[in-house]
Amino acid sequence: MKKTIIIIVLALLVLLLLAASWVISSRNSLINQDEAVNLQWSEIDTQLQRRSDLIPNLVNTVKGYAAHESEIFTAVADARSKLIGASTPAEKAGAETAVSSALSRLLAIAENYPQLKADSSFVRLQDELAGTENRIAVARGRYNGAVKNFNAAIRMFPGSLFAPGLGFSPAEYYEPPAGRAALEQAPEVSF
Amino acid sequence: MAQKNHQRRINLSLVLLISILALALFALDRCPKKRGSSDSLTQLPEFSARVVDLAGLFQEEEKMRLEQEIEALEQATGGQMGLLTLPELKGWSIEEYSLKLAEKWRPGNKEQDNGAILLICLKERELRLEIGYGWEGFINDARAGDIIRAMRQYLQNERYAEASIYAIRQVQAFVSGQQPKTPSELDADRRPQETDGQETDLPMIFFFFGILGVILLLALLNKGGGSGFGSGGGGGSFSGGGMRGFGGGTSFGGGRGGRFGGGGASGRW
Repeated sequence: MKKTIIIIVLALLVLLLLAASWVISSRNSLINQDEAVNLQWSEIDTQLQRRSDLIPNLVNTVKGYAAHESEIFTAVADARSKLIGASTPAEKAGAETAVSSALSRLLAIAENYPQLKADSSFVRLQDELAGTENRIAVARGRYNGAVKNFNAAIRMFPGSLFAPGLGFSPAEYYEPPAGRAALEQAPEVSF
Repeated sequence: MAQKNHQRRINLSLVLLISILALALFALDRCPKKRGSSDSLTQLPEFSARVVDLAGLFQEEEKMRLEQEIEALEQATGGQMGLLTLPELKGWSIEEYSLKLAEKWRPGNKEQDNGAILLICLKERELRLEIGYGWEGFINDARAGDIIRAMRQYLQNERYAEASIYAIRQVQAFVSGQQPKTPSELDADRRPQETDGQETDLPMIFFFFGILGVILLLALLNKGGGSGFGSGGGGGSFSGGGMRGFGGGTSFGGGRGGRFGGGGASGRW
């Protein structure tokens, strides 16, 4: 009789240890996913900043050849300041669309100036711009992937148990309110 | 007396059964979730060699020469490079395809992210040089653009091998800060190393599998208790590599895991 009791107690202890271990790793997994979202978000931020930094240079180079196209320069400057003022993912996505399309138009206008197109610093700025656009696209994809995983995890069991306690709520996707297609359209760089 | 023993046995087996069930459920839950394989990834070619010539742009000797050049780059820079030629992109944008490819092939090691991929698509006449995080400092987008633009004259004349050699050498020059070796110097380097490589391979393979067996055993035993195992959405730290240091310079395929952020440049010819 005693032996059976000991065995049962031991088994219960093991079960308890297993349960505790499971709770800990589930909770940690959720925390990791939240961190992944934060990490990917800061990557988007970095790349948006990088593009922002390229813009003045680009505008000046174009101005050197097409000074009278003032309307587009204003449009670019406006879009850029809106992006700097945006904070939430949705706001940033919307502002980013505006910057993208303004840049597209700037580059389209540049097409009309063959000397500008041949300018080596302009060409290399286009490289940098295209590279940054690509990085933004990549960062956006990875961020949304992390958000998807995180949002699913806090809704499913067992994450749903721990999420309120940790103060986790669903993260926002990086998508403009409307016109996702416009977002996909990075400025064309044709040689 | 027999009755009591029988009862005891039933209790014991019940307890055992419940414990095993609990253990199994726990292990299942903590199993690293398999990353869902998207259709796109299954279409991507394997990183079976440094040069994967699906579009048939290179002759055999040209392919060997290209492999040689990439090997020299690997030795000079400590990183890895892959070259893929595709017959067509099938609707993908070259940037998307290139990034997915880089995420599958992962040239470069995961500490330094020192890898690059040159992708040439025949039908669309598009190409891209994808640069890993670690090499972005050496090869910024403008430099990558310069390389792509310089390749055009070769590509327009269907001199695909020369274009690729140029690219490989430029990558090496930018990263290592030195001029790449000439073909004859490369040949001279290769000969002594080849035989060394063959000799030391076999014992290393056995050693490696021995370690692998021990690790697997430990992993299986630990599955029940480790809180760190599999947390954070599929660690997968035991990547397919780890064969680094095998034999001489001709070995291929080890120590991958390099990460890419979308840096590089694309172009058309």
